[in-house]
Amino acid sequence: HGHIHTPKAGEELKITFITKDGAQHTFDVSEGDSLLDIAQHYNLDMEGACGGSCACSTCHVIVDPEMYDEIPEPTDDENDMLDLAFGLTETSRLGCQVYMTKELDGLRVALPAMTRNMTVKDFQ
Amino acid sequence: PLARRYLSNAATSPYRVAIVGSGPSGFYVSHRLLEKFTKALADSSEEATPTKDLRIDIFEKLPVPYGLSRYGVAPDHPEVKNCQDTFDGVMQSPQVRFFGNVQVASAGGATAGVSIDALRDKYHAVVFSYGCDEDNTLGIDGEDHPGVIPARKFVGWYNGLPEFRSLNPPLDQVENVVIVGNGNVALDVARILLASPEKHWASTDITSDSVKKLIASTVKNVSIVARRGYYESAFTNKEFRELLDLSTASKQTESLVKFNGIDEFLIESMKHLIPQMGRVHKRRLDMYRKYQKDQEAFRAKNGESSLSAAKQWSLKYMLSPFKFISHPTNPILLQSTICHQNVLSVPVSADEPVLVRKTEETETLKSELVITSIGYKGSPLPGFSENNISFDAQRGVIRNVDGRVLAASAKANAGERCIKGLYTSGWIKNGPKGVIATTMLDAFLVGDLILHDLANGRLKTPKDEAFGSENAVSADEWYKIDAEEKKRGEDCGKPREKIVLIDEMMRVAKN
Ligand SMILES: Cc1cc2nc3c(=O)[nH]c(=O)nc-3n(C[C@H](O)[C@H](O)[C@H](O)COP(=O)(O)OP(=O)(O)OC[C@H]3O[C@@H](n4cnc5c(N)ncnc54)[C@H](O)[C@@H]3O)c2cc1C
Ligand code: FES
Repeated sequence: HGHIHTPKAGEELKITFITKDGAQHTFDVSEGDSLLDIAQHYNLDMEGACGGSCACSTCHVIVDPEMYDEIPEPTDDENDMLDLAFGLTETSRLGCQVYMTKELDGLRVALPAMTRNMTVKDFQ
Repeated sequence: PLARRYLSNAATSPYRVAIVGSGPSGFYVSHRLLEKFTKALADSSEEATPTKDLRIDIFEKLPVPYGLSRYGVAPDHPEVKNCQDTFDGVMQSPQVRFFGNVQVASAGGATAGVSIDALRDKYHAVVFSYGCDEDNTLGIDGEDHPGVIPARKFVGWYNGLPEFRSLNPPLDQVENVVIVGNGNVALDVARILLASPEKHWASTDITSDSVKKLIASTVKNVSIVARRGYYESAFTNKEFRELLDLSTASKQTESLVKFNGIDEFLIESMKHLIPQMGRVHKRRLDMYRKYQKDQEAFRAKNGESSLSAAKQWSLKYMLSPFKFISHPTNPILLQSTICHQNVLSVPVSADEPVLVRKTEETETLKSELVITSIGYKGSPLPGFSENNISFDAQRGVIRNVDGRVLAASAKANAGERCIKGLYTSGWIKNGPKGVIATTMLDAFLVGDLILHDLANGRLKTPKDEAFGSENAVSADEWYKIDAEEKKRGEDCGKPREKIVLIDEMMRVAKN
């Protein structure tokens, strides 16, 4: 899991993940790596339950609106899975379907926070 | 503070957690516990050997793990089952033991059992994650007729669940099948009946016996029936797209299946609500319109006959079956399903619920076979009432607060609402809904809660050593079954050929 390539000197691309606690993690990565592989390589909290095959939505990320349009449009399959993502936003994507390119240098994405599924009902 | 409190006890005796049921939720609770526990120890500056501090025992009534990931998820969704890689990681952790073929609170019999009392004695925390193993029922005339098969059994049959291996659905004697309910399980079943056995199914992990039966199938018409309207359809866009793809001539690599379309009235009458309904509904309609356009273009180019198909399917809305009529001559078949026609209230805004009202008008659907797909249902384990565990029989779930099991009587539980050390997760906690991703997120929260309780000394120290049993199937023994299944699969061009007999599983495991 999380196999990424070592970027060639001078060709490093920057990506920042904002984790659920608000902390920012910036890495130098190489073109072609998926956000899922990067996150897993650096042990960030991204499950990737289906192993990156666009079948689970557990690699959901929220992209900085500034750069959202730089990412190639989601396929129908990705959109079908995004339908099921928890806490979907206008700039949500699946981390396993987004690959780093030069255009995405400096990309910032947030990992969605799970909110507690409160059952306030009093049963007694 | 979390880590320190763990550590104060860690060196002497490990925390023990018992997981009841090895489906996605049981595994994801375990996964979370392991991950967080190890992290907490690593984050602390004190010296400790993390592998000694937390022990998890997973109990599974079948000799094999993974629950509905193995026995529910459709054979043509192999990517969904990739979650099993994570589960394997859990099972192979030195902190974890798998006890297959051990039913918790079994009423006796051939399988080795373990009682809830024994678990409570031996573990700090017990997590009920045993899923839903009964069917919801319609409660109508003729429902117990052999021609009415609950989807849970049908799905279990094609997926090789030992309990339903001999279901033998009479697919070679019927032409018209009604599926009651239109959730994803209903659409899985429709795909099984419609897609080409040779081209679509034969190379999946579906049982070979099922492929044979599907090849012999004479099913021509599949009607998927729902009480409410098009906008209330329970299926997701992914599943709808898969069926539409089978019916899109330009995409056909198999044999074309005809879709009878959606009544335009149903779409138009509520169209004003789409802007408020949002993304999912808008995409669903776009998908359907695109399909229609594709078909029209194909017809224009290749002629009417290019769209002819041997099998067809329909989405039927606003119908409530109330009676199944037996076949005049064949005792295992039906003749038809009689439904009330319903009317729906048309709400002004999307957050108003759509109300369903039955009318006296009826519609009769020709159907020699009916598959009901109206939901799974959970049941209590023997010993729940003795242990003061509160079970909601109507919803089929263990009553709980965020995963802490509620006491049936607070009086009998020293005034506490929840029972110390008892938790629940997955479908038996939330009811039978939600994909694996939903189940996972929920299981993580339950895992966090257990850690919180462990850290805060909420849990009592167990009396006994952990459980062990000779009849139990260990993780290593499961991998023998796994290897044998893969080997048998290779011989017939499939990823695996599941073993469907418990005895045979046990022979392979203990060999
Ligand atoms: C037909 C079908 C298709 C599905 N397809 C998909 C899909 O394509 N994608 C997706 O994301 N989700 C799918 N799901 C949903 C997914 O399967 C569930 O979200 C998930 O399996 C729920 O996990 P669970 O652990 O709560 O229950 P289960 O998976 O049911 O696991 C419960 C386990 O407990 C065991 N058990 C029961 N009683 C006992 C006992 N007394 N002692 C010990 N063990 C016991 C059972 O044998 C089982 O292994 C599908 C569900 C169904 C029914
Ligand atoms: S990892 Fe499953 S959808 Fe991306």
